[in-house]
Amino acid sequence: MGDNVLLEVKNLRTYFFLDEGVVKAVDGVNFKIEKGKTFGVVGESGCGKSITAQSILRILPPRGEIVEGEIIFYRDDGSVDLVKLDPKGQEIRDIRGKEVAMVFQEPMTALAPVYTIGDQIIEAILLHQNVTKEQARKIAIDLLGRVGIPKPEERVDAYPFELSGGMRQRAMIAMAISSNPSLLIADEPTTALDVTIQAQILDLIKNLQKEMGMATMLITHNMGVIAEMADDVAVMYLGKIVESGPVNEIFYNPKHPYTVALLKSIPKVGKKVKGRLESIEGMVPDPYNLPTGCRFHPRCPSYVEGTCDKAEPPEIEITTGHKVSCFLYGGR
Amino acid sequence: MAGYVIRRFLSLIPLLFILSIVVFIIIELPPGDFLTVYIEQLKSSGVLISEEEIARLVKQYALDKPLHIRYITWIKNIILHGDFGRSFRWNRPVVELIKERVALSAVISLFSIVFVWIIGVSIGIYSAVKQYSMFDYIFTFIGFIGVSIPGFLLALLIIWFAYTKFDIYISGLFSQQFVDAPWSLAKVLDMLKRIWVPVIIIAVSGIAGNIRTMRANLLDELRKQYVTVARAKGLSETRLLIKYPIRIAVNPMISTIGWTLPAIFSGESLASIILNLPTIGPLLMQALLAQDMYLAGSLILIMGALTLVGTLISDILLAWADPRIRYGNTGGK
Amino acid sequence: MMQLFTKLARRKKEEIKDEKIFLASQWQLMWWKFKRHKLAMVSMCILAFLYIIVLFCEFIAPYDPWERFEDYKNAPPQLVRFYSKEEGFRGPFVYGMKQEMDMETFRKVFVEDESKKYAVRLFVRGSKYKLWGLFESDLHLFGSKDGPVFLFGTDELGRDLFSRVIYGARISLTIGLVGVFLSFILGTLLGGISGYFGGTIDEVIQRTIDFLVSIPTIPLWMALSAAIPQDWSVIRTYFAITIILSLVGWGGLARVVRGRLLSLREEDFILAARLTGASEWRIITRHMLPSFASHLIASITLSIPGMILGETSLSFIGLGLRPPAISWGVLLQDAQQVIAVAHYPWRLIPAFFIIVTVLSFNFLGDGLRDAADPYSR
Repeated sequence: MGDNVLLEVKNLRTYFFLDEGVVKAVDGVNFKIEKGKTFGVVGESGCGKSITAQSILRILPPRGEIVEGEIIFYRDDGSVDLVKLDPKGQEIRDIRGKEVAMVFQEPMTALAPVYTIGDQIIEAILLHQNVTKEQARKIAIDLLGRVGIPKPEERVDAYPFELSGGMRQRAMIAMAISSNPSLLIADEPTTALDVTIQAQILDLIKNLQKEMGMATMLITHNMGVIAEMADDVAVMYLGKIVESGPVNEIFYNPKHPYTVALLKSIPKVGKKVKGRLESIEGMVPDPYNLPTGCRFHPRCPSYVEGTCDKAEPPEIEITTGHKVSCFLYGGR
Repeated sequence: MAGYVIRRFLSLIPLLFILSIVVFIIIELPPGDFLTVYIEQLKSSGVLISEEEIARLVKQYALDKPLHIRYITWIKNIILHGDFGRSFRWNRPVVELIKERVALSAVISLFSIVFVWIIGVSIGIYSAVKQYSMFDYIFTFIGFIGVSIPGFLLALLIIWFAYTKFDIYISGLFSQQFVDAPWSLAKVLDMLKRIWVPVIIIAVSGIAGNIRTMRANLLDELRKQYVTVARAKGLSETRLLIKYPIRIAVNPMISTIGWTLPAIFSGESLASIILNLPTIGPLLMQALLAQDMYLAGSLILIMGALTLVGTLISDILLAWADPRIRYGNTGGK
Repeated sequence: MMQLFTKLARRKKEEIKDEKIFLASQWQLMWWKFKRHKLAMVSMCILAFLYIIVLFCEFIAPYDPWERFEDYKNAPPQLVRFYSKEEGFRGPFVYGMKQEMDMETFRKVFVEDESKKYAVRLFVRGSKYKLWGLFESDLHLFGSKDGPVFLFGTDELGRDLFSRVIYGARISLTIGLVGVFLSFILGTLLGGISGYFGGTIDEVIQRTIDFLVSIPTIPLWMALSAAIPQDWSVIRTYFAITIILSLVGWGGLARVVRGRLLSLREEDFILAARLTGASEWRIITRHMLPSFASHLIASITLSIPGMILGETSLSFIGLGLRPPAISWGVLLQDAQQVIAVAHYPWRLIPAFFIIVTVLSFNFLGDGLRDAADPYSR
């Protein structure tokens, strides 16, 4: 396994220092992404999934800071700790877009409205590859064709507002893969799209990944997407990974009460639903005032008083690669 | 693009038409017709006017005809012959009187616009990028005050300050020796030395307004996702700022040129009166006080037409800069 | 993501108020939001204070504004003191003034005469007036029985500038309100018609508005007010000026009204009202007006300073109100000559009032505009 690791995140803590207080958006997260594999991160809105991704690329919004941890990116010629790089410096900028690329949630706003999509893709190509403008344009047209945009030689000169949401997201993907990255971070790539287009985009990402051999970090709140795409899964809740492991383990042998609850809340095709769909009790707590002990305890059906609200549960490996942080499985 | 320009040009026609009607109403507004006033004035200054001369003027301006004929004659004279009528006070054709003043007004206004735009936009950018810094607070506050102090008061205060503190009497656009001198390089240089006082006075409120709009625009844009996308691409921070959020936030600023124009002209006329500049403002005031209506009307007509054309130019510039407008797509950002 | 956090936090903070928030009317929500804008609150207090002065200016001004004190021409402002060398701390008083020759400039100047002390008292009887044309009285807020008190000095005819500024507020501050009120009626009516009916009417009104907002207002105002006959009474001139200001100024407001109406027209609740058979009038007054009244109030507030400045500028250059009318602009006419201002700088005091008023309206309007959208952020 060791040689196959592409990115390793160790004890990452990203905090936001706001007027109202400190938000511990990511609070001690560990995970590894293997080469060529898809790593899924799942959780409710506000659990810190996107902040984790932004921490990797060092593109945190203002007042967000990595306060602790390492993000080690392995290359053929050695490794680099991304946390140590200057977020505005040349080194991280060479990694962004070239080795680690990102696809965003809102294809409507992710492309600047005043430049053609061609302009924006060519910009990315020129930034990381040693080619002329004409060559870059050819590459861009080729890329647009590869992501399934019809008549790419015309569309390359289209403005974002002339394209549909799905087409824009394809253009975004074309931009992201333009320099053959070894890791593609897809932050809710299909959330803003129609259901039918969602499937197409996911298929596209899957195929490209196979073709190019890149790893994908797929961030979503949708368990269905995880089931279809991911090799490994991490379930996040309020800045922590509560359970992680191979996708089959998580789906067929979920351990953490939160994972269990998440899985119960998906409607199942072909199964008769009795009564209402199950939902998780309660609201996501106040981020300035996180619960003590296990952060899930106020909403947890298996809550044990005196334990869960006192100490943070340790991470326990149940089977190879399947880890869970819950007192139900020891550590009391 | 060509279609847009043509459409925009055509929309100018009804506006110019309304303008000409309003100006004509203004000309006709004072009681009595000009000729009587004119003859009175000539008589009081001891000049006699011949019957033929009167008949000729009556015919030229259709003074004996009904209102709509008078309007048509007036507008026809302007369009076909460039004849804006006659100033009865100066007893000269209006065109001769205003040519140089219109040019000077245009120069001052143009300087002011450039000043307003460059200073306003750059401070606005700096304020937004360094939001909540000391600099940002200071300029936000100055901006508010700048918007609230009318140009004529500012002119008054500056003149007073310069006079009491530095013993300088700010007045006019030229030094004594150049006032009536023909145009020469030295005269232009002399003007350039003095022009900045009125330019600053006229520009202050516009600058303040532009700082506020630019800052708000840019702050909006900085939050948009395409900025993060560009960053994730590996662009350097400076290039990214200039190419994306600033470029896009500047777009609506182009259209502000259109609506700062009337304010600039308004401010220019008032400031010129107080600073005693040889521009349109003081002439308009004298004309109005003397009820020299062809002169006053022509000045307003020219100012109005200039602002309308200015707005048109700024709209075309905006369409050129922003593909969304060029393609007639107004919805969906 | 960040926004989400702040939102969540805010929600938590206001949880105690939650119950109230859900029950609060839109106006209550706006008030809560408005209260957070400190500058706007301060400005509102300043304006309230100024308008109280407007209501009671006969009472607050110590003298009749046209009364001439022949012995005190161009007298400087007097300082109200609470301390004198002989008596230490005492009730408020001003020193009397005597004229002396400045040996350098050979001009007569006033200097404080420390031998004369005039006690300043509240509620002093002075010149007679009729408050609001109804109640006859001679009671003034303050004054002195011992001698004249000129807080802002006097003008070249020896008239008390403080009283004149107070009376000037009456015209300068109301002309903005009346002018905006007229523009508002014109703007709402025409903007409403334009936005509601659309089509050719819309096109015609739109072109007119385009024209009005793209034309320099000051020259147009100048031209129109120059046509006001010189022999008209103060009241008639006042209304003529107001009408001129609003005739040129309604375009901006009409544009706001139309814009809001156009977007409202597409709303589902309007369609719902129409489907239930509500009359057009009812739809406009019951459904459309309330939902954009708040924005309208903000726009109105922001357009008042323009009107006030319009009157002031016109009067200042001699094309608006003319003496004996008193407005801040008319008072500033005395400050047109730099040399005079250099000698008698207190002539600029009305400018200070103009700036404070305009600044306050701008801050207030800003606060209202923020508050008009109580659900945002």
